[in-house]
Amino acid sequence: MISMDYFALFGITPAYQLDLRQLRERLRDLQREYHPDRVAHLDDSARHQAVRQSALVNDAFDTLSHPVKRAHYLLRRQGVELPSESSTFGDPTFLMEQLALRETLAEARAAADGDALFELRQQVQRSRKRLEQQLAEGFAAAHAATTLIDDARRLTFFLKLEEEIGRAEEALDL
Amino acid sequence: MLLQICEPGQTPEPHQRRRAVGIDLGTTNSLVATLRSGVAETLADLQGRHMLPSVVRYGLDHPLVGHEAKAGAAVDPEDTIISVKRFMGRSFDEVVARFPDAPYRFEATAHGQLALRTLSGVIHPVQVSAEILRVLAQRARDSLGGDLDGVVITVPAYFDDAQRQATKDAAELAGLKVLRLLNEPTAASVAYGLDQGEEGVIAVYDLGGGTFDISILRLSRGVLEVLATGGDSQLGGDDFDQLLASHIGRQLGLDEQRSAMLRRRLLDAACSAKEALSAAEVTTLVVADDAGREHQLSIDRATFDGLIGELVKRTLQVCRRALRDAGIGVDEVREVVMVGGSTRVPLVRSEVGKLFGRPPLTSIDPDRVVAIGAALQAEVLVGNKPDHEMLLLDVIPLSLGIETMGGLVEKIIPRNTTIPVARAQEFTTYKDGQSAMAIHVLQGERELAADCRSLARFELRNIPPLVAGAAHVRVSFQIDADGLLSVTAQEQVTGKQASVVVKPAYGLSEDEVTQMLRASGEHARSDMRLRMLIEQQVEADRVHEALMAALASDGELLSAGERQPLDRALTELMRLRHGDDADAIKRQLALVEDLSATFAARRMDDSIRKALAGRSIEGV
Repeated sequence: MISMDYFALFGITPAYQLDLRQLRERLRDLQREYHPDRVAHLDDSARHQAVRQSALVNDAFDTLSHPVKRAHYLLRRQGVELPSESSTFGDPTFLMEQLALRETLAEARAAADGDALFELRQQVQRSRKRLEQQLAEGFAAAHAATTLIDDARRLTFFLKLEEEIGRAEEALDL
Repeated sequence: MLLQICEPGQTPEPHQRRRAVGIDLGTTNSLVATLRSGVAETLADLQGRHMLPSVVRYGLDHPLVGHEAKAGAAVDPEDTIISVKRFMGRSFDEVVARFPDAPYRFEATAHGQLALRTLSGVIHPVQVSAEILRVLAQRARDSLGGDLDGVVITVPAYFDDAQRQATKDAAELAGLKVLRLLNEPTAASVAYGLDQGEEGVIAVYDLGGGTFDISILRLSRGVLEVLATGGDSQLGGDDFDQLLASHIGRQLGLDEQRSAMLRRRLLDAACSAKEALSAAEVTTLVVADDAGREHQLSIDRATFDGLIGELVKRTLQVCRRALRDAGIGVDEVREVVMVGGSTRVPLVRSEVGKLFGRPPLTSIDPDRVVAIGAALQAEVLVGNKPDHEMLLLDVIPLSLGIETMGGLVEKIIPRNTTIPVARAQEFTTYKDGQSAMAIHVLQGERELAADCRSLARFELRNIPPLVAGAAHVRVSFQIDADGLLSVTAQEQVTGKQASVVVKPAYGLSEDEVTQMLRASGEHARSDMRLRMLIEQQVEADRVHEALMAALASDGELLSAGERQPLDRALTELMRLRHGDDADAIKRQLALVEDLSATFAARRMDDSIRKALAGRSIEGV
């Protein structure tokens, strides 16, 4: 609806590396300004407007705080067209690694092995953090868009895997 | 409508104190509270009773509400609606499956919604809640000496869109202006002043009559933020009563299935015994059978604890899950707030204390704590404390999605996303010349549409007929601060607004609410029609004035061709405004809104850009 720069909205320099705590604090300041509660006693039009502005602020935060969405946002901001999610990913070595990790997860889940799940989570988290670091450096050094897109893609795989490990751990606890 | 640009947080002209109250619309009991001499307190009725039983008895005359109604429960269970909150926003099928033993004559409306047949006719749960709200609002008016400027009504954090919408409909039916639907646990934290206190994580354990909620909140720099919520909207102290009543029936050899009246007496005895066991180790109860013979039984706390142990354990599991959702360890929780009458049960207190490794906060009456918090928040929201820094950020409790091919659900807004939130999704046509599209909105965590709650089905019409895949319809879902959903749609290629016809699955359509307003009493009818006319006239004046002012200052944002139809529509609006047809004014208002949408969007864009230009200089 409105083309607005999220980094400008949050008053931070556009970069992949950012201070999440600062981002969260800015979110609170912005919500203090735009949240519909501030105009709850006014008429509907003021309330509706506040809902839109506040939703926009939340969306900006959601985009900037998420490691993959932030990467995509930075790329789009530079005019890069992102490939569709269903396009194939051409890194067989990486995909084989992912398959192996998923097998480990399946085995741990089947064996209800909480320790193995914990181990796997640590491993996946380390890889994920390495990738985030790599992306930060890639953006800072203005690497080719294709490299950055691929790294973001890899990051998505790890995030999904982490989610599934979480679900498996949850299933064990209950 | 986006006509007025006003500074967020601004209060209009300095006013006298506005009258605002907080209402805890509870499953078992309801309360109203307000601020007096700076202290929030619940208001009592003429007999000095603070709690109003959430019971409405329908007879041939006016419905009875509260204590009088409750007294009738044993003799007239079919017409005495108890715990109606459990039925709010629920379908006929759900309620019948979930409450097979409820003594009511349930009926399904044409849309599959739930209705109750009573001596006063067929009643919708929203109307029952509205009766309760009316009594509380009147109590507040009497106490404050005038009409209310706004109310905050609390809902369980776990309530989905349909349940929240039903609650808001009930308030509208009772003629109240809702400032905010506030999550009960959030209100409780506010009551304890935790929003003013030390920073940290707060857990609110709320076990009421009919619902259980756990909320994990974080306070930092004056913002109380809900990190995660979990709960079970169908588990509460009433279930303790049910278990104990069944136990008593078994022990005394009384078949509770035999009559609704016996079941009610067993439940009453169970409830009294439960309350007695909060203080005593053992209690004795007496139940009369249908022949009037009295039966005596003594029950000790260990027996009671044994009966409810599994239910309490279930609440602790939900707590652990909520902590995990919030990414918080048990040891990081700084305070645990207890809410709801059922937290007086010693087993509940000790188990919760054990889980969190600290004694929970219980100094404020757990029955009143939510209403007190709501009153404090109402005072802020009504604009009496413009300098107040408190801001409560909420999350959406259940994921929102749409049905895709094969009956699967595609999540559009995941649960625990901070609200307000707006997300858009693009849909494309699959047939040449296709001009309509059906969309099914669901709420819930399950993968299959059939396992989630159906919120709305709507049809997008007037899609320009193009080849398959060429028309792109962008559907925007918006959830406001109350957690309520609204939907808009636009065809992307032509920019045409596709009309959205939302058929609320279990909520009420606007027409139905209007109908109920009309039906709410022979006498009230003409008043109501007059009120609707006046409301529309006031709205017409407001819109006219706002638009004229906006056009005077920013008219250059529109071309002459865009401007002309808008001017004509405004002239017609003013003509209708002096007539007495509320519906015609309303229709014209909608037309004006449509015609001014582009202008409003451009103005907002413009103003935000200006605001941003200032900010980035200061912020970078």
